[in-house]
Amino acid sequence: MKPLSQQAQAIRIKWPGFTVNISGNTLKAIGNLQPTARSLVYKVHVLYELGKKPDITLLAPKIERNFKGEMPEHLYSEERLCLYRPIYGEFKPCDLISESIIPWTSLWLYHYEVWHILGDWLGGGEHPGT
Amino acid sequence: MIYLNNRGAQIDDILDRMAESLQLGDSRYDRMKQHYEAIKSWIEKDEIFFKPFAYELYPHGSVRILTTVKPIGSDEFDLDIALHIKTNHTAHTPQRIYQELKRRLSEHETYKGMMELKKRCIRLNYSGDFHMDILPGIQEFDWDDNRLCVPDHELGRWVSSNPRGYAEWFIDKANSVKVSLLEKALRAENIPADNFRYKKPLQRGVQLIKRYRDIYFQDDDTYKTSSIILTTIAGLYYNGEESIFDTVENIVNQIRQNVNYLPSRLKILNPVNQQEDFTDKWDTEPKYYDAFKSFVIHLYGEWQELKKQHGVLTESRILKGLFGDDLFVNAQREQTTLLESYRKTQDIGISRNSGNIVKAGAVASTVVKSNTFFGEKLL
Repeated sequence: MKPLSQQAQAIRIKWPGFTVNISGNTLKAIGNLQPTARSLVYKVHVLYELGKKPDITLLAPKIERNFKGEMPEHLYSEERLCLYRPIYGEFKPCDLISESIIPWTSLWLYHYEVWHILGDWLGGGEHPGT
Repeated sequence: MIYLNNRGAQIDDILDRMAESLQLGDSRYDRMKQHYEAIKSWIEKDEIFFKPFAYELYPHGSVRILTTVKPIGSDEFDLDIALHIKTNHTAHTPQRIYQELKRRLSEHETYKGMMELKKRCIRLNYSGDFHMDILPGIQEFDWDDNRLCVPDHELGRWVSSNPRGYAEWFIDKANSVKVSLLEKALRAENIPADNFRYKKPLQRGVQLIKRYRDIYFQDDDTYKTSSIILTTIAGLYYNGEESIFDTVENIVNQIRQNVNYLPSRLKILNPVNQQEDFTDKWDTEPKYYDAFKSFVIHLYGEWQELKKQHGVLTESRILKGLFGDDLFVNAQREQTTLLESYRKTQDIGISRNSGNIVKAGAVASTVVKSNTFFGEKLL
């Protein structure tokens, strides 16, 4: 398992626009991601309790329904982004957030915008029970 | 694939994809060629009139200059073909040439049922595929291979025409840019740019302006601006811009300035025959000019909005409105599907400064590792 100090240091080095704090067992990182040069800039929030699943949410702008009135299909409760399928081990506590969670967040945001435009999610993925 | 950290290339990729899907496809182009070769040999075999002369038969208009646009709600393209006869035009009357072409085509079992007589040309309707407008003409001068005398069916006299010269003029203009923005972006990423060999920003810009014209005048096309006027203005005002976006912007800006500040109406002369004013109708029927002005001012306003950094959602609404939902949606879908294919081979990265999606291995980027988006579909 990667200690929080190592996770924090990797984010600070790799993502200079992010601010990172550790308090007790929890790491908090906030930064801006713009998936394409023509996209909005999203302020994202990463909350990681050591050894648990990281929670990624959008601080601004917030998630919105698309023109069909639907919510994006890859969310957990409280509008947390579902970036990977835990049973596949795509992110494990020994992996760096800077190398996985943050790039996936930008990719998710790209597909979120395209989903707003088209009404379809083209980023693939799975749902519980499949 | 254009990576998504270049504002100009990102929108030009979408504009280019939209124009590409409006274009006459290769297979249909080949079919058209077979058809007109067959027509040529049918005319050449005519014992009664045509046999002694030398001919050329070639496409002109939008097919020749690669600015075809599929009409809305129909799958039939208009294709212009010139039947260029090399003989002395003073030895023939315009009526004769037109009548002989009509006679010869009506002797053919298939062609006779497809014929439709137009003012200067004879149209063959290939149902569900295209209309082929055959313009018969006699070369005007021995020393100029391009200029034709064509019969004006209604006026009963020869008029001078230069379809091949016009095409040369337009293509020269289009080629005044050496390397387009999209070609540069692809080269920078070491991606073959074959697709852009023949399609320059001016050609794409004309296609898009014509498409928007079709949408704008969809409900009432009484005073619709003709393609020859739009194409000529675009060629005249084009300044070698490298991007499709800037090409449209510059053309529309200049039209707007001219219609606003010129003391009299804008006049668009045939660049290869200054005697011919393509816009002469704007004097006798000023409503055509009014419609043209409103059309341009609307396009100008929308293009100015696109320049502002509203984000892709607002942008997509503007583009859907200008060019039609389907056209835009398909272009966006293609772009994203291509990106997904790169993702599967782990060829994309994220710029650590901006968050933009870039080519894997680009400076200051982190590669996107394999992942499976997950989660409940919430209602």
